[in-house]
Amino acid sequence: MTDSALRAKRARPATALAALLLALAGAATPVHAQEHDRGAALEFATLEEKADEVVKVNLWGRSLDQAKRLLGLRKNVTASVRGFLGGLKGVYRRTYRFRGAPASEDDVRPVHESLSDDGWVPMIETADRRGPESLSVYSYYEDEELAGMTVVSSDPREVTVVKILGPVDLEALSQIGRGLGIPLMNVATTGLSPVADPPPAK
Amino acid sequence: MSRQHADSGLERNLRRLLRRTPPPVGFRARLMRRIAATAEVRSRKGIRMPPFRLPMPTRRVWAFAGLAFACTLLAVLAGLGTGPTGNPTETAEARAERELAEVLQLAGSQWLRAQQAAFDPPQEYAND
Repeated sequence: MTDSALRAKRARPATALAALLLALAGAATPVHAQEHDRGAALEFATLEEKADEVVKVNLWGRSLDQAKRLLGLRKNVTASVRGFLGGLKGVYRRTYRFRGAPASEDDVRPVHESLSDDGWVPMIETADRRGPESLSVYSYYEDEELAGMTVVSSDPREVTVVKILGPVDLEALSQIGRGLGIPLMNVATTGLSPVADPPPAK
Repeated sequence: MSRQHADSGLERNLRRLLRRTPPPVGFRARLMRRIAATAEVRSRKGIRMPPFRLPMPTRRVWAFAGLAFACTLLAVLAGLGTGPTGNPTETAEARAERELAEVLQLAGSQWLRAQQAAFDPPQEYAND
């Protein structure tokens, strides 16, 4: 056996080990990166160019873990909300505010198209007949389980997209929406009218 | 009242006080005698206490004082820097927590609105 062949034989286990480690790292990374990519795709150039004010929140990985840990430590957090928080993989928010020219339906259309292209299925779509206000809830399924939710609300002054990745407990989300579950904070919900009570039946 | 009368009154009071005070005995008496003897010897020989001198050159004293001041200043500045807003990690964590709570509350309130619009529409639309 020649020297080069011997050297190659000796190097083989090391190479195999390195390849295994790389494969393991490669197998672990895409899942995490894939989750982030799903949220990071939340970029809408048309809206961003037109908006006077843009709010972007990206919570995933370490920052999300820290936020979940701190929020879970609060006293008033219910068990169902704590369970919901534990499953979160990514939370993203985009808010575009318009002081000058209002947002039109054409400006918001790319948001809906982008979500549909990414496999998000519209769960609830509402639109005001008398005005350009709309509210849509999209869901994302993996292995026939709800693995994400996106809410798109738009009115002439504000367009907001909220994307939640991870198993979504809709009951826990309703609790949070009612101000239960987690302590009430000063939430900037400009442009969102409060949930109105239905008019009394005639 | 003249000064002489006042002095004599003061002297009388002092004498009376001294009469009441018991004379020193034992170690205290020996110590007082020793001090008095030393003072008498010094006064007889004209010995005077040497003037106060620093145990090190003045320049070194100033150097030590300057160093102590600098250390104190650094400690105060470090204390200010690590105050309530001085820990960047803690601030980032708190901010992430607030943002998470805000986004979830926003999503929750919108989810309720969507539910209400879909399953419990206002009467004016329900009749359409």
